[in-house]
Amino acid sequence: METTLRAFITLFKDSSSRWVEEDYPRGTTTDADGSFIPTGSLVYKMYKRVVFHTDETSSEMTFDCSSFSEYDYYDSEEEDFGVDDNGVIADGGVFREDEELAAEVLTTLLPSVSAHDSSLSSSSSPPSSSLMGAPHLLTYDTYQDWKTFPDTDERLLLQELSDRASSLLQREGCSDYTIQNYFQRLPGCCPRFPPSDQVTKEASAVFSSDSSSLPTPSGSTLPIDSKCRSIMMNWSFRVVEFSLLNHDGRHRQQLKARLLSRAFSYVDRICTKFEIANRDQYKLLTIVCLHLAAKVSGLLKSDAHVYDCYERFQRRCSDDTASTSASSSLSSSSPSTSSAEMSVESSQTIVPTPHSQDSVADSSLPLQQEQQQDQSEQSYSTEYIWLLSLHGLHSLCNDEFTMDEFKQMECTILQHGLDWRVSSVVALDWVDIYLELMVLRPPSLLLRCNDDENNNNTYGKNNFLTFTKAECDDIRDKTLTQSEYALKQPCFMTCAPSLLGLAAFLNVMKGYCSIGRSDCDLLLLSSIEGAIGFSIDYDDLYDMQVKMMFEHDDDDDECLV
Amino acid sequence: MPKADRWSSDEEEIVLLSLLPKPISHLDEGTYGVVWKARDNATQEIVAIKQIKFDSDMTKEGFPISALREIGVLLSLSHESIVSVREMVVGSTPDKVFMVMDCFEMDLQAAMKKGPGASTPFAQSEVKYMMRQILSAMAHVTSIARKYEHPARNMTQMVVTLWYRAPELLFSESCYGPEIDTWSIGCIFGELLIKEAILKGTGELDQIQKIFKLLGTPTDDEYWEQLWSKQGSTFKWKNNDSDLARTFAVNSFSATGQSYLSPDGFDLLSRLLSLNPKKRITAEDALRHSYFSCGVTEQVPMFYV
Repeated sequence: METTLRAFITLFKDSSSRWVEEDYPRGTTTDADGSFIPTGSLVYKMYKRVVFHTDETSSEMTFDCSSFSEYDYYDSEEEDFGVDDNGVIADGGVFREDEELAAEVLTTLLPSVSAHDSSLSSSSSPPSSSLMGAPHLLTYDTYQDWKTFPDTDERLLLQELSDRASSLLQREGCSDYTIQNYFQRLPGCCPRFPPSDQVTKEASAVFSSDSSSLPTPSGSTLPIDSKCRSIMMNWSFRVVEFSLLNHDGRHRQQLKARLLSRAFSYVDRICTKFEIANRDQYKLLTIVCLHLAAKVSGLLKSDAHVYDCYERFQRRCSDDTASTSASSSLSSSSPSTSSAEMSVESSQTIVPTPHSQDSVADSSLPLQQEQQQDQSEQSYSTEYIWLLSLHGLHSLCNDEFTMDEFKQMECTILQHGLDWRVSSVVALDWVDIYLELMVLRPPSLLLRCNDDENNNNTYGKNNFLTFTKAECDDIRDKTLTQSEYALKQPCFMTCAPSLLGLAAFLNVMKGYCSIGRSDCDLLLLSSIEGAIGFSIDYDDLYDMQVKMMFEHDDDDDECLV
Repeated sequence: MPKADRWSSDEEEIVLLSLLPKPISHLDEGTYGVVWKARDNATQEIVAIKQIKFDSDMTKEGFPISALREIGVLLSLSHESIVSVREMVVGSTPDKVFMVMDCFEMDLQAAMKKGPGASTPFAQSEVKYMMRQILSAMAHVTSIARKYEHPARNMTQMVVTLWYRAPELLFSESCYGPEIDTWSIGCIFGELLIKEAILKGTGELDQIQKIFKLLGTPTDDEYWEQLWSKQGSTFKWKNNDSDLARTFAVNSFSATGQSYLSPDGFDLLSRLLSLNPKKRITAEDALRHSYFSCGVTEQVPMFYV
């Protein structure tokens, strides 16, 4: 009975092959070809490791393959040996083809694999080398044991990614950043937000306010529900979309996703810890969180930057008064004529008025104007960002909240809601790491697909899975879209950002792997686990992937703005 | 949330209930905050408290952006060479916000001037130790802070203390990144070698002149040609040759008071102080430099002990 065996072999890219310099074995005077070896010669030895997966069990083992390494020597006095700066032996050295090496490794180690893997017990004899060269031979770089990689650059690179990941993981696991499904919670089981002793006379004095408390219910006493979140999410998307009008499409998409992820991580964290009094307060909370996220994200760089943007925004508005439609579109910038009121309708859900939707979402006109700008006007490129400032957001609320209420809410959020921990971990932080690990930075994932050897598109002429810049951008965009979808759905609210990002990333990567979905996941997960060092709950991940893919398709109309 | 009266100081600004028997001092003041030394009344530990400055203008847009970003970054950093923020404390009013941090006896400048062995140059092994700490902290900050930043564009040039400010900032470069910090680290490297700031300009123009005097005027450099032409600069800078090799003697135990500097060390210094920011070495690459892997082993500086 013939058994298909897959050997995943850790290989190093040619540009960073790990040829290790060692003393030539003592007592050796000639090499394999009988050539004389001068005293003091060194040998370059190449180390490779293999990891085995089988179809049935996907069991995995690691072997040191140094016994298959090639030897050569050189006289240290002779420079023209054919070794590149990075230690790769060129013409003068012996460098076997990866496939040949893989086949030999596979043949030699098969008995060991069989001993460990009952699924192979039916194999009557080791497959021949020729059989190994066929469709089931895959080689890839899993980053397993990367800490022992002899290449310093690669090790440091992976160390950096690993450090970033562990910093994110640390925060992700910290109770300060926990998010629960607060919509399913019974009323009264959490402290009210803000805590009763928080608002002081001093607070109002500092901000020159006569009011001494945060907004009180004004007609709406119903608890918040997922619909409230959804409405505020959509409103926020439109505001941010408009604020980033002058950024190019891809950049805007990224900024928008990051900003909103952070803003709603604040909202969800606070709602997890506290009970929000009413829908008005939830509305105010969401708006101020959006503002805080803009500050933390660096979109609002300084107070001076905000004023500068405001002035230019005003100038732009006054320039546009000649155009009736333009003034209509931009009227929301003026506090006195603010139109993006979010009213509590009779249904007791928070709904932006149609007027607000028009004013924020109707971006076509300013966009056209922007496209007409010449290069000298590039300095105006951040003016719409002003809308994310406190004054900007206040102007969109049609005086429903005062500036003092905005400021008090900001203080309360920082002090009590977030405990100053504004560095929420979001799925996109993880997506960055996965992309860097797999796609964007060398050493990239290498997938050799022998069943597709004539494919010269994605896999390139060497049959390695490599990505062009456009493909990388495409992967990022698609991952962002999936993450964006997850952000909008309350069902993903409680998912760990690391898993959420991974689910989105894997879903997208499936489209780039022609080796079968399970293999693709296996390869990617193995690499990610090896490099980052965390253990993944595969069941949770799979559920999330499925939910993200299929519900996304079903809910397109409802969920996407 | 802890209350401010948990901490004692002799200064009224820090809303206190009890004064210490011995006054604890005002440590330092910067653009965005004042640093005090105080005692945690709960644990009796000495801590540094940084009071965030609130100008009236600042509160027009709510909590100051710079302070918020500093708090956010510091609270998320975790590195052995970076001072950690223990907690945030709010005083009796929201404009009294304090960052409670570990307190150290002295900063690097004080260690150079007043610490044990201040009269003699640092040993090469000590310089190497401090440089690794600084660079690894910088590398950590760069990797963590990356997620806070969107691609740099049109940013203010009024950053970094003048003596440590990168030349491109002095020429109003508004698109910059971590390379301005590696320039500063280069300045600190030089300072560690001679125990004195290497570029003590009295103003921006003087600072530029001092930089060009030390490192030579960037002629035939594509980056600078583009920057100057973009700005329509009318200045003509006197052509200087680099004086760096004369200022920092290699393999010399001269009586100039300079720490011993290996050729690798000089190479690293010159890469950190590259006038072209695009060619300036990154903190990550600097850590891989042969300066750290060859030559004498690092040693904890005397003032640490």
